[in-house]
Amino acid sequence: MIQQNELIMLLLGIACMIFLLLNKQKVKRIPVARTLVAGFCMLLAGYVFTIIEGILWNDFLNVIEHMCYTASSLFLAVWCWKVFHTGKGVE
Amino acid sequence: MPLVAIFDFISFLASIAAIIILLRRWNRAIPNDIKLLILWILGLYSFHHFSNILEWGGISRALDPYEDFLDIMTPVLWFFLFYGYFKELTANDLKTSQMAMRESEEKYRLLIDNQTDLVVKVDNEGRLLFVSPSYCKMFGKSEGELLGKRFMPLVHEDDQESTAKAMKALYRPPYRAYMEQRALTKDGWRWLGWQDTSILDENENVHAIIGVGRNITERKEYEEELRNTRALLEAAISQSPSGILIADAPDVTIRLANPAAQNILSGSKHQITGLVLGEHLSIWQTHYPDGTPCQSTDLPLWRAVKQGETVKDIKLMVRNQSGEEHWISTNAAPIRDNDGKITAGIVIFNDITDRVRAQRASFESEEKFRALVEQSPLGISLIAKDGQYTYLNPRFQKITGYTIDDIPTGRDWFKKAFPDKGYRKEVIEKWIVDKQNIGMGQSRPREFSVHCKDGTTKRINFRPVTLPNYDQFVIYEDVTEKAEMEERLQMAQKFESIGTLAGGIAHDFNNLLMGVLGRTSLISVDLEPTNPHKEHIEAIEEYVSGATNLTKQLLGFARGGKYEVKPIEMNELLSQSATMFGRTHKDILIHSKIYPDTIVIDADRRQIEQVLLNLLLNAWQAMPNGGEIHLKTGIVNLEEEVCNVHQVDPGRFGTISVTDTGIGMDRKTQKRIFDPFFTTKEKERGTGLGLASSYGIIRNHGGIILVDSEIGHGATFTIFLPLSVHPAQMETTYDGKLVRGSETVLLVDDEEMIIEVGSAMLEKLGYKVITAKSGESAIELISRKTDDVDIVILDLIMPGIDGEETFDQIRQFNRKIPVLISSGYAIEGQAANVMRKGCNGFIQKPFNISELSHTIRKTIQKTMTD
Repeated sequence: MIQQNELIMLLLGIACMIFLLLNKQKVKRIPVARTLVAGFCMLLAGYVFTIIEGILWNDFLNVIEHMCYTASSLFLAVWCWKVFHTGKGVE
Repeated sequence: MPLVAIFDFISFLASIAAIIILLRRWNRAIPNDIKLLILWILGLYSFHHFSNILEWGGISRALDPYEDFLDIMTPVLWFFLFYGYFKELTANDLKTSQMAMRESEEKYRLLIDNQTDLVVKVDNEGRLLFVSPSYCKMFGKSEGELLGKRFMPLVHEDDQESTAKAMKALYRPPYRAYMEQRALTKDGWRWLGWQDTSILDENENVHAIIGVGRNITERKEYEEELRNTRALLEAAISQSPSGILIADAPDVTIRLANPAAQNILSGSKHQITGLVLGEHLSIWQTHYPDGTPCQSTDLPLWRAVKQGETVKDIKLMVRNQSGEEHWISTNAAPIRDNDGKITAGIVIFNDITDRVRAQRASFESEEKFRALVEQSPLGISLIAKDGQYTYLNPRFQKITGYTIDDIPTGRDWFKKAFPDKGYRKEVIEKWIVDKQNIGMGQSRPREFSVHCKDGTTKRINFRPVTLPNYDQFVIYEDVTEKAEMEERLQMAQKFESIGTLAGGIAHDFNNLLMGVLGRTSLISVDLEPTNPHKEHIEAIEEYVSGATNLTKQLLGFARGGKYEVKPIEMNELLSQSATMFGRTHKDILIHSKIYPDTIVIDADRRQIEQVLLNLLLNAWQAMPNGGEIHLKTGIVNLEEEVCNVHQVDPGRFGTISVTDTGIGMDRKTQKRIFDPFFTTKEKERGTGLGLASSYGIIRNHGGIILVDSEIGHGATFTIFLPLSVHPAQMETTYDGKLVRGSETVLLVDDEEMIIEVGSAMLEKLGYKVITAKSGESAIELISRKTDDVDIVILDLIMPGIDGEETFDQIRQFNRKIPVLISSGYAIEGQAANVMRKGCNGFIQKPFNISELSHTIRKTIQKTMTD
């Protein structure tokens, strides 16, 4: 069963993704952009699996969903480490 | 615990860790709103995972309602995060762009304001829209005065057309043009170079022109100067009489050949330029002065280009295409660029063919003259005007013995050649007078006695000539021998004149003595040995004998007394003379060194005996306190050179030397020793005729007599007599008894006294005597009584027909009749001539009856034997 809030999150995520794709050149100028964008992409993937798990492979896709969220958290933590701790791209 | 709970736990921890990192480095240069957005996202992440942990752990589900709401915020926050970043980047870009713009404007302003180049902007009408401060400064006007005005009036009248033409070019692609023009600036006319560019509007139409100009006056002046210099150099190179070649590096390709080079090398400009230097060798053969071929790598231009050498004054011979040989003196140098790299080389060569030929001709001429001077039989010297000797030829050194080291200056020469101060002063005075009075190139010969290096003194004839450069050229002729020969000639002439006088006296004197001796010998024959008058008669005969010797001496140097020339042996003659002399002079010791072989000479024995006697007497008298006499005989071969000096025929000579250990004599005495009546002895001991007579006799025999002496070291007289080709004849001696006869004798003499005495003596000896007082009478008598006359005694010197002619005519009537010549004196050669014609005997007046008796008998017997 598809929840309403999950669908909204997915739509908002996709919109954000489209926004990124439209400003692709500018994205590249963000410090350690790949890691940050990877974190966002993992989050968006988690939203996708959340929607799909309501239709099929409920348990499996739930695990995948959580793996994606975890990956997103890890990418964001790494990004923070690189940007704030090592100062990469900001000095 | 379900697997998802583990993931949530890990996610929670990662979020918390990220938050901690963020907070610890909050001062990073990241905009705060972005930092807050990240903090929010991390916070939502932490809340979401913490809620899940509580849920999966079964602890609580109380956070779920908030979770759904907050989860929706997560993508929104992400969006704002990216948006914020993009906004920040855009703001940064704008800021950067504005800063760049500002900087650019500042730079541009700075550039324009400080630009030395001129910058203007003009519209299509040529009106100035913008002028740079440098432009205003150059034209001495303000921006206000210039803007809106046309620029063309500022351009030089001559350059306006070209400027207008260039401006037109700006209205078509490529819309750029360069022009040079003169403009009237505040400092006057100046050359300006403009690079103009058109500014196009959106329709590609020119709406303005930007011009950047530069003052190129200096460059134009420099170019003008460069053009002038180039023209000057080209003129200099083309008009240069020296050949000039310029070759490019690195392969030494000839780029330039001026007309002189073309002329020397006999090639056109096109033939020469473009060739590599090495290739020229096959066309133009090059040699060194010694004939060695010059390799291309040795050529000066090659060395300049390839090795960077500066070559100076190398002489080469070039045979050009026409086969002509040219001597050239070459100088070469490399041409370098600013970095010192060799870009080319230049060679300059002068045609020195004429000079070389002249030098060769001069050298050959000099060689000829040098040979002439060095082989000259005359001494030659060259004295510089400062008195330094610059040259002495070998003959000079041979004559004087002095080298240029001995006499570096004229002063040294005078000191050494004329050691006697007085004489030197005289020579120098004459020299100075001549130098002052004789013109340049003329000469006045002078004769001086020069003291030579070997100590001898030579008579030298000087001929100094002053040359145009005031050097002195002096010719020296050794006239010592000539002077000696002249001296000998004078002596011979003196002897001849004295001899003629002496001969005449001797002739008459002998006739007188003949009378006296004849008479005394007639008396002596009749006197008994015990007769008291016998002693007086013998004394008279001795006096007559002394007088006879005197006349013999006179006849000796009169050189007319050589009558009986026979081959005689010199060793035997010397031994006899020495023995006889030694018997009467016991105070001296005689040593003889006789030549082992026989030495035969043709001579009058009595005269040579007389010579030896004179020499021995002279030696004895030179040793008043006794001493030794050394006699020596020998044979020598005298060369023509020596014989010419003494005027005798060259050949083999027998020599006799008489050396004493007496007082000796100086050179002055030696010079006069053979003069008649010259003596160094007291009056009683010498007449001065002995050595003069000896000299005359030896000369009369074709010989030489020399003296060598030094004061205190005795003297040596040496006589040289030519050897005979005949064997020696033995001399017959008389025993003193009279030899009588009964034949008829024709006595011919012009002297009455001789006729009387002679007739008496002949009759005393038993002969029949017919007399004749002249040659004519004798001939007439013989023609009538040719068979009655058994022997003729014939005087040689008679008035009218003389003895020789009388003899010739007698022989025409009777070829067998013996003829005996009787003479007190005969001119040179006369007696010998008659003897050669076949005269049978000779008797020297005065003679005594004994001598006459033996001579007549010997003559008659000899005729009968023949």
